Amino acid sequence: MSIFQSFRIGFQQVRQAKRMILFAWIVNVVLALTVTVPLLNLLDGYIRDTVHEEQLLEGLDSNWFETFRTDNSENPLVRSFDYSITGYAPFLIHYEALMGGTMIKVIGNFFIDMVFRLKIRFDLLGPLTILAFVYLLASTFLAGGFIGSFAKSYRVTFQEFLMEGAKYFGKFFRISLLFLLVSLALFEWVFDWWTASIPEITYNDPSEWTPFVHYMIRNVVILMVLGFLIIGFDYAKIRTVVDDRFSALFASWAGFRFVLKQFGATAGLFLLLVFIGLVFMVLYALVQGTIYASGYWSILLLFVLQQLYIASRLGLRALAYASQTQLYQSRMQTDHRVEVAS
Amino acid sequence: MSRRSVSLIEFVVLLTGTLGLVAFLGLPQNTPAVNAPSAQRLAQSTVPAEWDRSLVLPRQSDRIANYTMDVRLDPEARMITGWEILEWRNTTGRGQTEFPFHLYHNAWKNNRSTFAKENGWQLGRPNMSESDYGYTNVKRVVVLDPRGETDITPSFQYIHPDEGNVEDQTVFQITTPRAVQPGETLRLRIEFETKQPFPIARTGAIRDYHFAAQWFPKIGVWWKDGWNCHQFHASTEFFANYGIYDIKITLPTEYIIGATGGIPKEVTDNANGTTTHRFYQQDVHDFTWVASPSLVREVRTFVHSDPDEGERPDRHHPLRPVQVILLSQPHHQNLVERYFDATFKALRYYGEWYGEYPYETVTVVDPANNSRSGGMEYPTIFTGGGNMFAPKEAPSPESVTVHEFGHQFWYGLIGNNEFEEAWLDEGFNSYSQDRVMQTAWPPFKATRYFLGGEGAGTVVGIPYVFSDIRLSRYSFGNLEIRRQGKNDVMARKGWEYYQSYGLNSYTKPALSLWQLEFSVGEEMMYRIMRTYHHRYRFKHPTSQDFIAIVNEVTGKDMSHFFRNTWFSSDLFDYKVESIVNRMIPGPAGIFTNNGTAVDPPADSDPSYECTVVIKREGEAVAPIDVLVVFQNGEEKREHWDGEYRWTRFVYRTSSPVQYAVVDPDRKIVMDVNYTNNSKVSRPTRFRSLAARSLGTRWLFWVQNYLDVGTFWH
Repeated sequence: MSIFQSFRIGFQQVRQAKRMILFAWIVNVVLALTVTVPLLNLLDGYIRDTVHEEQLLEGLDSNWFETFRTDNSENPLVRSFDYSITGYAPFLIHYEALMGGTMIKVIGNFFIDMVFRLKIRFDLLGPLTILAFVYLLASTFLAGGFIGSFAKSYRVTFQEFLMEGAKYFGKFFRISLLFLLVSLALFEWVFDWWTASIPEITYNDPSEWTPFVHYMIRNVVILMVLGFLIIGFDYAKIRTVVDDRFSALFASWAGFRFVLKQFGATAGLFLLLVFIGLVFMVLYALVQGTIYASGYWSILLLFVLQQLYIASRLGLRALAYASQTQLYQSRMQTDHRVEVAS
Repeated sequence: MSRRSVSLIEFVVLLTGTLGLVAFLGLPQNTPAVNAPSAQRLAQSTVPAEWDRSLVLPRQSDRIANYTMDVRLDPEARMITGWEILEWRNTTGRGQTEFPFHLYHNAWKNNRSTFAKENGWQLGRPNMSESDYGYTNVKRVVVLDPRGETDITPSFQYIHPDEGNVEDQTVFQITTPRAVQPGETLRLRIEFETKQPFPIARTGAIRDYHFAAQWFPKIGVWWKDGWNCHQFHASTEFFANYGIYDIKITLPTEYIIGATGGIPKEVTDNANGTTTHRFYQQDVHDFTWVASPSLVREVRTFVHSDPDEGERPDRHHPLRPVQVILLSQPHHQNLVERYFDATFKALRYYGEWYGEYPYETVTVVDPANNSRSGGMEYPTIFTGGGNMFAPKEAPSPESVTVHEFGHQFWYGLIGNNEFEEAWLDEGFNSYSQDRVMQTAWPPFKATRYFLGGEGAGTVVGIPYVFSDIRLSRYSFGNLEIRRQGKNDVMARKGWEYYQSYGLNSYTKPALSLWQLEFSVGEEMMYRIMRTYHHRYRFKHPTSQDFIAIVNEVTGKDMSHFFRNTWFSSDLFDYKVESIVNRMIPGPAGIFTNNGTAVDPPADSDPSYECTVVIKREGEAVAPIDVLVVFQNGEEKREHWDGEYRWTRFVYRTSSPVQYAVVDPDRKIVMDVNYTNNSKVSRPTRFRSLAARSLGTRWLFWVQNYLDVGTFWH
């Protein structure tokens, strides 16, 4: 089966899994609301009885913004509440954090300290980190549900979806931990060293162009490495489901072996999905720029656009699971047929 | 898991999500919006006040300290060697035998200098090699006298007038055998060599880029009845007499050079691979130069063309043409137009507002990366600074160019003592810069470079413009005062602040001048600044001189203003404490007069007693306006002297107060918290739409964070 056939069948499966994607979106939005509602209440109390209510709707004033942050600097949520909430800056700041392995290092170091040093580092656990960890667990559950459902030859019910999620949760979580450890090692020992060396390497360079090129090469390499890891561990999960494997280590080994063996197809499919993700991002960036959120309905419109984007992203993830599962199953069947024929 | 329990889970999740979203976004409200005054744009008019014809700009300085030099740069050794002849005219009114000199480069000679000590016993760079240090060696000092030459090198000694650090060698003193009498001129020939350090404190050499600032022995200033020659401190700048500089610099022919004086008077090819450039500039108090074979030189002429000139000839002095020399980096050619544009605008507005720029040239240097020479001013030459990726919405290189050009006026032409009263140049210039930026450009936006980091001495990455954020120059000035304002009184010597040099030299004085402008009015402020500039051009004024000008021009005693700003660490913070709209009930009870029944007061229209309470949270005091607006649209503008801790305004009206704003025109720009300056009486059920607008963005930010941040699941 070609990449596009896998993609097409995967797409059909995702179309039949709208309820599951809606569920995934609700999980995302409900978890996000747990840190949004407190901040919203804080903002409401700060703004509602002042004339800034009207002024801020005309445009965000940097002085107001910074005064709010100063007045509430003790609030851990407010520390992350900066200009990057505007426009399409969330993409940039989060991909920047991704390139720096921020989340991986926080959660990874927390576990390492807990397991190897018997020390619980509460200082590493801000509300956003805890939320991310909870979301990681939820996503692991959903991944089990999606792959378990897409691996079946019939349309599964929502009940089965949940059951598949529960069934593979433990195995997938172990794979996630493995992914976390590998990424952590890469960031701590390779990428961080590389990033730190760029200012030194380019220190004496007369032009900003040189460090810029260095950073962009670093970004591309990190993305490629992380992309490779994502594909490898995705197929590890798929093999866990399809081949009914128990060991996370062996499943991962098998996943990466499959990726290397079928590198053209697996990487091609992944790049196709990445391309679609980029298209979503560009579309969001373009459309949000036309919405001036100054009244109830324009805010609602922006909200709908944002949620459509998030739902699309989650749908894309489901599509990745579906088409990768299709690709794996078709290639395995082909291999099996070749083996039988020979 | 049973089908029923799955349905229950599904139901609960969907219900929670729906309720959460409804709670989050709420429903549309039909609450009347408040038509509140928005923050004003600071510079209100570009048309300056009518010129006071009695104001005349001095044609030249007193030319007390005049230097002739002949030096040679050895780029490989980073060494400048040569001699200077100093002609110092005694205007002290008494005979002088002892003369202090600055040797600024010795601040970077070792880690025991006062500069290093104040910088944590280091020079800003770990693991320095011997070639990274800098110094100036005085090899010989000779008095040149018609009767003969006298070698006074043996009298050379280092002195430490500020803080007794005997290891500091940034000030030396020589003694002449005969007193120089009042009116006489001392002629000294000083042979010296200056080793350029690795870039530090806006001087030094990197690669083939040599920036020579504070590089020669420079005599102190006789000021306030004594020698003023401070050691070089980590955070302070400079002070010197005006004079004439006639300087010859020899360096490899392929080097492009820029210097005080701009266009060389003579260029001599020495036919040995070197060229000698002679620069000449009158009425300046320093001489700085830059040389590199990589610099790209372009010269354009500023010609004053003011669209208002024909209509308002009474308000403009014609400004002379000025040759603007730009020395830029090869990879910064995309910034060339921005540098010229900013310099031309600065030449125009500073000239129109304060007085004509008197020199024939100004040289703008786009500094080499990592040269640490960016953003610095010297007479007729200054350094800017820009990033090749800077989007046009970013304020740099425009803001730094305008700022450093502005120092030609505040520092260059007004030669205040930067060691002791840095705010007189940095603060005045920051205020003036703000005015130019707000007059000549639409508001700039906050920008940030993503997915990159540090490199080549700057920050690189993918530029992003936060187009939703309104940015003003003093965006964070009042917050800076809030954080550090209590550390120090502004009026202190530069090296005596507790971590607040920046605040007290730049931000606070700049904001205080804005506050002064809003207090006395724009027209009056023009007169004040112009009178000050005209009277003290080529002189060394103090804060008291400026205050005297303010009092003179306004005709009022403004000392209370300066007591609360320049000479105090108190903070301004006025707020609207409360608004209470109480409906007055109809008459009830016993209405008698000495036992005789009287008619109860007539039942008027629905009537309210409205009380607005204003509080002074800070210790600083300023008279203040209060705007009170009633629901029927009626407005009342109150004035309060701001002295006591609080005041209240009580109204008996038919309409309740809708909102009140203290300082509605934002005249008290030093108010450290203006978010508490207003109060609006809204229904209890009202929910902030602005909060929801921000909350929506935050929700998306978190959702995206969860999606991207946990990619490894």
